[in-house]
Amino acid sequence: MKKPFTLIALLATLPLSNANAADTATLTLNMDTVWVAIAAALVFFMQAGFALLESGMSRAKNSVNVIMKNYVDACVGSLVYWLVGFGIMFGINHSGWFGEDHFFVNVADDFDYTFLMFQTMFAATAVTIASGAMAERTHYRAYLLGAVIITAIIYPVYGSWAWGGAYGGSGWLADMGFIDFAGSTVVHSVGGWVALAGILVLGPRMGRFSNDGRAHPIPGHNLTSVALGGFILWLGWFGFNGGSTVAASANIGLINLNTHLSAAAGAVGALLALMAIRAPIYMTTVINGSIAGLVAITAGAATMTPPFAIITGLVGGVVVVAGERLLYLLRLDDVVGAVSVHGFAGVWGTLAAGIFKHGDMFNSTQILIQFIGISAAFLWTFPVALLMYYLLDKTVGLRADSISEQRGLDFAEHYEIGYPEFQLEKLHEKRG
Amino acid sequence: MAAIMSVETNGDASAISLEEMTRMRQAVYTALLPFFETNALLEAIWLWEEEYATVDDVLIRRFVQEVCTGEMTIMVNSVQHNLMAHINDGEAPLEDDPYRLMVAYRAGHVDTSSPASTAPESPTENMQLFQTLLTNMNRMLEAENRYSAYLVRNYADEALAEYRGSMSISQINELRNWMQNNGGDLRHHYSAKQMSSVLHLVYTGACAYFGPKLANDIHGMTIKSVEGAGAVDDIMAESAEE
Repeated sequence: MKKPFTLIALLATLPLSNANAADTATLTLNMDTVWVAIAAALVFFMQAGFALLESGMSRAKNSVNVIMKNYVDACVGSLVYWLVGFGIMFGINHSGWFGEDHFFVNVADDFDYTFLMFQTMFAATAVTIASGAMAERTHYRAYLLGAVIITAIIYPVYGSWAWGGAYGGSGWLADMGFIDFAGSTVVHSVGGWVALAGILVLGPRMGRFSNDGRAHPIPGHNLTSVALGGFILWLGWFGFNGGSTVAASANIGLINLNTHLSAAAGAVGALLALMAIRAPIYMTTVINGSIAGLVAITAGAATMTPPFAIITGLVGGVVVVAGERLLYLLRLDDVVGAVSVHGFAGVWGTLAAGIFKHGDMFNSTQILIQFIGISAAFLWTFPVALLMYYLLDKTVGLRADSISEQRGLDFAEHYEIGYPEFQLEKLHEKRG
Repeated sequence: MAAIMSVETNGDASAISLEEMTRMRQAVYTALLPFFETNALLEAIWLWEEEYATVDDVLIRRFVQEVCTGEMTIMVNSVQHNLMAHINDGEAPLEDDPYRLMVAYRAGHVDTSSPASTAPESPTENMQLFQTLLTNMNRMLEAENRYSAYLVRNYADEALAEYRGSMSISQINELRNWMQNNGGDLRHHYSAKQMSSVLHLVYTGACAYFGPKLANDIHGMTIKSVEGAGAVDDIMAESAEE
């Protein structure tokens, strides 16, 4: 993540007359603001992508609940991030471990607001990743409490290590030279490890893995919305990666080209992997492959050339298929494949950013630093999230009871039905 | 007399007539009946009588939250909805005034832990529905896969043994026999909650051995088949009248 104002500072040193330099600096600031604000809006639009993709992969009786999780975690996450998270992540970072100011930002410079807006969207993305994995069996209140802790502590603390110190000081991983341009690890792996912790504490959905050892597929109710969600995420990612320049700079073209090629390669990688293992070519897996390509390129989008972006995406797609198989063997029920897509592909992408760094490829020191960053993310995020969900389960209750699962969380948690014309479960209402 | 006592307890006798008080009690009793077992139901009615009978409707939510504890928490909205519907609908058919039952319960003369201790009853409409639902569901499971259906019955048989907290032993034994043999009328009375939990048990077993997708489909078809039968009965009754 490039620090704000770098480009402005550079332009200010150009040998122009004072008046021209001032105009140019103002123009540059305006252009930066416009681009980052648009990018923030694109990243926000990703919430719609997540909501459609996740609800489509869930059963109809849980569709409202999934949408509500996506909708409200973005709201709660944004408020908490403004209140606490942003300060921890980007405030003055003397220790290298967390920021110390810029909490509940009130009065700041114009571009600081833009930067905060953009970063808030990132936090919202990180927090929403777990919702899909934990779909169809999580108590709504417990989930939202988890979202608060993620945006207040889990995400910003790790973020401060890798990206911290925008207003002074620096994170310890950033000091080592850790590359994670737009957050393969900072945003996506962190979200993926939180999701992994969540599904471990929750256990699988009722009937997903039966008593006699068999696994029962639980198809989603609307694959059309899954595809639309995939397209929206892809579009939003141009803001996610392109906006991470935090400036209207010339390399946005390369970044977004890499983003696009990697996504395309991710879909192809997943498709080839499915064909190689003679599995049906599942649409959901192919879409997850493209998202894995997007996740993977996020770390190195600005430091790779297009051929290596394609390799990164292609491998990302394969990683998703392998990851889904691994979770299946471990009897872990990840409804949308979030752990594979965001966790595993994030790990691969962050490594790839070190391996394929333009002008310094296969540098073992850089790869080691990448590995340290990846390990730190897991060692911080997973145990804390595991503890958090365990405590939530023991206090407010994380797992919905089986009768709520049978009736669907739409009815049990929200007293609303996503598709009243089709859902027979509504008949329970009449019988009590 | 009962109504007078309760009204006096609340110290707001002028606010509500005896008839209205009785009707309200009947409405609350009727509304809560599908959700609670006898002892919990009578406790709830007493709570309403003593603390909520004369308060404004907006406080009904607090009453519902107070009685819907534990696993009933998720039913708060349903209970409130049903309660408001019965209280506000003057035309709704109501159960008899439960006051005698309430007094007997307070005096310890009602064995609420075991509804089966009363003499066997003829099957009510709900009981008939319950039996039909179970029978149809079992048939559909059989049609899908006989061996898996057998496993589901065994699963339910084992799980029913753990229901001692909410059912009498004779009820449990009757249900276990009935489900294994799948026939005849049930002699005991089961509350709506008990019936619901038994149906849920079979559904859970179906999830485990048929998968949630098939279990959902079969469960949905079972409900539909009963609805269909009801509709047919209505038509038959209408045609007979004609």
